[in-house]
Amino acid sequence: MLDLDSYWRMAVGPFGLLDQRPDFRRDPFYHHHDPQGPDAPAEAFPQNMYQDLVRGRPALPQSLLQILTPGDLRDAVVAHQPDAAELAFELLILPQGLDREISDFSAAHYIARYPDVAEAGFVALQHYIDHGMAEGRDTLRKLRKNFTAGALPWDPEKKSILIAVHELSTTGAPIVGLQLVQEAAVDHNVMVVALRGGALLDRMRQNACCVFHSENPSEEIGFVLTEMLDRVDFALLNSAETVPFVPLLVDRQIPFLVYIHEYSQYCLPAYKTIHLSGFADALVYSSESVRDTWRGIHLDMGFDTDRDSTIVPQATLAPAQVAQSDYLAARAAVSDLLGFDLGSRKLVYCAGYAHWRKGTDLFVMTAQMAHRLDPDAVFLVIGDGLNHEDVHSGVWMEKHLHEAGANQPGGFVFTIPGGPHYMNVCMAADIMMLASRLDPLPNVVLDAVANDCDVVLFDKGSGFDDVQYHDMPRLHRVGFGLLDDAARCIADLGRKADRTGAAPRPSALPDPADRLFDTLSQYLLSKRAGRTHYFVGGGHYDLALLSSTHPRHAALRVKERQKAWTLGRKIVWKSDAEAARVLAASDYPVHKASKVRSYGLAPVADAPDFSIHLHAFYTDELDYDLQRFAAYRAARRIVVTTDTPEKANLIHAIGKGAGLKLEVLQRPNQGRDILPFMKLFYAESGIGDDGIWGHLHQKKSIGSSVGGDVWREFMMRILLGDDQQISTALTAMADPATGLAAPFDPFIVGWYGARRLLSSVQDRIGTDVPPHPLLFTVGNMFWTRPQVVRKMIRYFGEAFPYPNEPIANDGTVFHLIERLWPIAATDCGLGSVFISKPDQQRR
Amino acid sequence: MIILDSRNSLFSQPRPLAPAKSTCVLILPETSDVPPDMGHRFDRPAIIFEWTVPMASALDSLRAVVTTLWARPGPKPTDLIFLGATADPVLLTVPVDAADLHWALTPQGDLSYLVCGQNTLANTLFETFFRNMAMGITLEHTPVSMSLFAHHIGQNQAGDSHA
Repeated sequence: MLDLDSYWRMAVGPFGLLDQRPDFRRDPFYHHHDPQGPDAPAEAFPQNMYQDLVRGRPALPQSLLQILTPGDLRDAVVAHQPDAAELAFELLILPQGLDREISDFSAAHYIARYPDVAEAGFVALQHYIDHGMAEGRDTLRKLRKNFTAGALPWDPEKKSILIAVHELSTTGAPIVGLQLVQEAAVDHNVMVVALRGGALLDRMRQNACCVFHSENPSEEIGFVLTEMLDRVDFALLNSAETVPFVPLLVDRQIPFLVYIHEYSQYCLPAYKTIHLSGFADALVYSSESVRDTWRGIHLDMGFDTDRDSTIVPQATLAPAQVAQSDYLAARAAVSDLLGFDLGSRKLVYCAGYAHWRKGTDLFVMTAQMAHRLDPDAVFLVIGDGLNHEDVHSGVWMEKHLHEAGANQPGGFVFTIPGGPHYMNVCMAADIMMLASRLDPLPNVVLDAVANDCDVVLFDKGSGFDDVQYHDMPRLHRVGFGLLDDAARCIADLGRKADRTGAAPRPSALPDPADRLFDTLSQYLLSKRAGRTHYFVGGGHYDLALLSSTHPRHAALRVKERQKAWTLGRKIVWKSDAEAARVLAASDYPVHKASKVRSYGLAPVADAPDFSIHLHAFYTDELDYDLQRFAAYRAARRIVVTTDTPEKANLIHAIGKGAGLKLEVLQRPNQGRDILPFMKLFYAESGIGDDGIWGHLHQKKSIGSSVGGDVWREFMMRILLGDDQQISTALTAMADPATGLAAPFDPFIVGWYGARRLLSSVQDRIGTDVPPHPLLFTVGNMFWTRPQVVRKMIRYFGEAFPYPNEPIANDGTVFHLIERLWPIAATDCGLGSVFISKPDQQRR
Repeated sequence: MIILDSRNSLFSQPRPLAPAKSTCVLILPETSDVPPDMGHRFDRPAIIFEWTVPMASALDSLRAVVTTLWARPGPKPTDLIFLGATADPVLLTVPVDAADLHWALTPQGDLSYLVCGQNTLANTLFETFFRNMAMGITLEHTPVSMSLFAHHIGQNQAGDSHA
């Protein structure tokens, strides 16, 4: 029999609860829900929550057995020991977090996972027993299944680190992650975390104190690793795909470095590059070619590329010979695999997951061309991912392979899956073709060169564009996508057989003095040690990039702003005064011409002559808007654009109901809100150069509608004022030197994806374009003058082939236009005013 | 380590501010007119802690400094002098003994100064005390917190602790 009272005392004593509650059977703070009447004796009332609940839930002990973890207490409940279930329940319900010590249930986790439970006023454990269990809601059990104890014990004398990989697969980046783990384990406690499991689990486990994977690490890891996480000194994140770990590390104030192997072009959605550049203490790239593609986002985020990033290839390109005996054995093995004797035929291969990025299709096309020049050559694709049911890629690869006669007797193109044959292929082959469109620094090239293969690769397609590789004798570059040149190069290259010898193979192990882990960790620590300016507090705007506006994220929001500011990164202005200072200190005319002013209200009579354009793709809030802003009633013209006759009719009716004369124009659904506005000012429009125009819209585009209502209200209030008065944004336009008035956005938004389009219009812009916009019309609502709009139109021309819907979430010509309004104003010799209203919720 | 609030009268004096051997930390309140690059007022580059909101209390500013700098790699300081806005600058000229632990509060309850010798800084509870302190601790909680500080850290040391 378990001594239940002793168990209770041992469990709650450390929390100082015994004085108030010596007996688990009586909870002096419990208020029962089912009084027996005012005259009932005290014993008739439930004395704790268990006694209350069990009356209506006789199966409560069985429910508890579903979550209690093995141990004495569970055994006592199983054995129906009197009061054992009551003890278990009363321990589970305590707020001190004992639940996760004795069960797979954690109220804190449950509430974090299902915030609606707490918001609805439920007690987490009661909700789970009454509803969540039957609904299959998650408990810690699901998380704990993904936890694996490591083979190495925790040594309190060692530093502790976290190494994150995006998955535990045997692919490129996770293999580099394994290398880091193996090297770090020599003198560190290593915790390995991943987003997904995979075949590397056991090898990771052998070198770590624990391995855990979760698709939602920021919300889940803390419930599993608990105290271990508190001991982490720093973290290394291997691959940009580990970005979901960033909120966790910022929240825990764990410094971290990210080892990036991805070109920014395919690091999507764009928030990944933003979060990494905004919050990483240091970024390390495997090649300069990769880092070059991140320089734009570095500029946007205030990331100092020279100070906070460096280049570290994951391994050295080391040419070596293959012993003739190895070569011949490998040729024999590959011949067996293919079902014919390779003899003296040239063997050319490409390796990697079959995909457009890897250029599997380009390799097969090159093989077809090279076959005409060297009919004996054999072409081999080694790698996984050829799936004839994959409509995104596999179907089309299959078609191309089929037409090339792949895997047919007598053919010249063959495919084999990745796996144990790989090293034989490297040794047996004469040439490797890196057909990738973008590939950072693939290990397959290192392997090929280490096995004396010539490598044919595209210029501007890989990290081997870095200058250090330019004179490597085994690397042969051809122009990007010039398959005929690649085919000719393959045909011209000699065979390995002519140069095999008896040389020993080089060791695959890295030089201990040159460990990748040491290089990365020392770089990170040097960044921290050299820091001399810290920012404290959350500034004037409670906004954040990593966390939500929910009150439970309030501390994290402060932490992320503090960290970003201390690192010198641009995410949110500390105050509008800071923005004004930065603008004033800039040398760019557009910044010099931009001012920040405080929001205010003015009588409608003070308004200059103005008109409003409203693009109403959605009509549901139009009625409400027209009635709650006095500015509409003072406008000389209100032009509404929409895309269907039905909406046009409805808008007419809404205007009539509001007592306003609306000019409704039907326009195609192209160019979101902004193109319909710009087209009002095309040559044939009849609108003159005088007057002031406001541009408003519904801000409901897919992808921006979350929080869109709050954001739209933010912009509308600042631009229009209220139901009695007008905003000083409008009166600011009374100054003929002002060409643009827009809301001051507390977020610091860069060029982002639109930077890629800047060069196409830059020569038509008559003012210097700054590397960072600092302030612009974020959200695309503003007051302006016709001459500014016409300047913008001239940047592109009226005949510009604007794209149709659907368009990307960022980086389109319309996102570029959104950022160019202050520049267009400056180009007209006019200033821009950004109106600050800190008390208006932005998100 | 010398931690100096930029509002302290010492900062406006024309001569170099601190002895050469210490790490110098300058706290800039949000409303400070001192430009952040004035760290050179010390005889070596100072570490700046710039507030972006009104400072809740001097103890809170000390919390921010300790939790940040103690987490950095490298050797930890062996003594600490914190001078708040109203502290007497003469404290900087007095050598710090290993056993020193003394501080004073302003009439409003704010931490005026704190001097900690080697014994205090070597106590593992020193960092824990600040790490466990709530962000934004106010004047109201400062006296109690300093009493707890003495209780946990100063109890076995020479008896010159006072509030």
